[in-house]
Amino acid sequence: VSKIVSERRDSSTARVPAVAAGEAIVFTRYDEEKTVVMHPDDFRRLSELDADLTEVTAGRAELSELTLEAHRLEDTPGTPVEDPERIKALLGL
Amino acid sequence: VSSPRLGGLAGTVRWAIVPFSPRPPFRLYAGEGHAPIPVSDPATLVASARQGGDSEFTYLVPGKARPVLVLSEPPSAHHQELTALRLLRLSKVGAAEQDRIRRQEDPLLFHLDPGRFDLPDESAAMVSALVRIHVGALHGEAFGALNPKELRVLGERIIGFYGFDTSLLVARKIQELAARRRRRDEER
Repeated sequence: VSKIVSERRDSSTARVPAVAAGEAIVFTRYDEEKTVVMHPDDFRRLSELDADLTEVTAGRAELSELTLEAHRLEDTPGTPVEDPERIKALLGL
Repeated sequence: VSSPRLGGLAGTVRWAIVPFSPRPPFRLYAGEGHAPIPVSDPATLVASARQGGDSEFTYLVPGKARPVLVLSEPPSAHHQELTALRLLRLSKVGAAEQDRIRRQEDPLLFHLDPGRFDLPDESAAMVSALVRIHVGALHGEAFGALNPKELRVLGERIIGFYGFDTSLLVARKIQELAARRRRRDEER
């Protein structure tokens, strides 16, 4: 999961315990972690950290005019030498 | 990008035989005495592969002997390919552009100081021109080598340009660092 998508629900729709800041309650089912309840401040902090991490690791450098020109100059095939005699002469064969 | 090691290839600039990427019209070698067979687009070749023929053709692709900046060591004795960057010769661009490159003002053109790289022409590594090369296509001694810090900067630019999503990797490294720090604190 690359981003936490949250959904708001009224607390009257479920029996959710209150949790103090800095603490979390991990609900398990058959020994497996199912849900974690945490304080809203902690959740916001984690979400912000997640967003910051995504921001600092994302972003793509754009090709400048100069780099595009570099590709045109160095990355585009010219006219290959395909004459056998010329190849032999060039390579000293 | 590999960490440079003494006597290694990563970070060095060397001669290599570098092919251009195959592009249409493709030309297939058809043996001695026959002209190459032109194929105007990939569809014909893909259709043939889809039929399960698994035919392998010899594609005639232009290539060039040119210096490259090697980025990695070959992964194993059986997998001898490495990654490298093509170079831009500064003499091919104008004086103002050359100065921009020397001042490292274009993040996608990494200037190679002629005082450290004894190349035929003053050059810059093109971050956006990644190529794969077989070790057997390299030749001769290195013209010079980047130091670990420079190679790290280059690695960061390559990741940035190609848009590799490193957030999971960074998050895992942060967690590892935090765990290491916790362990140290507990030991004290």
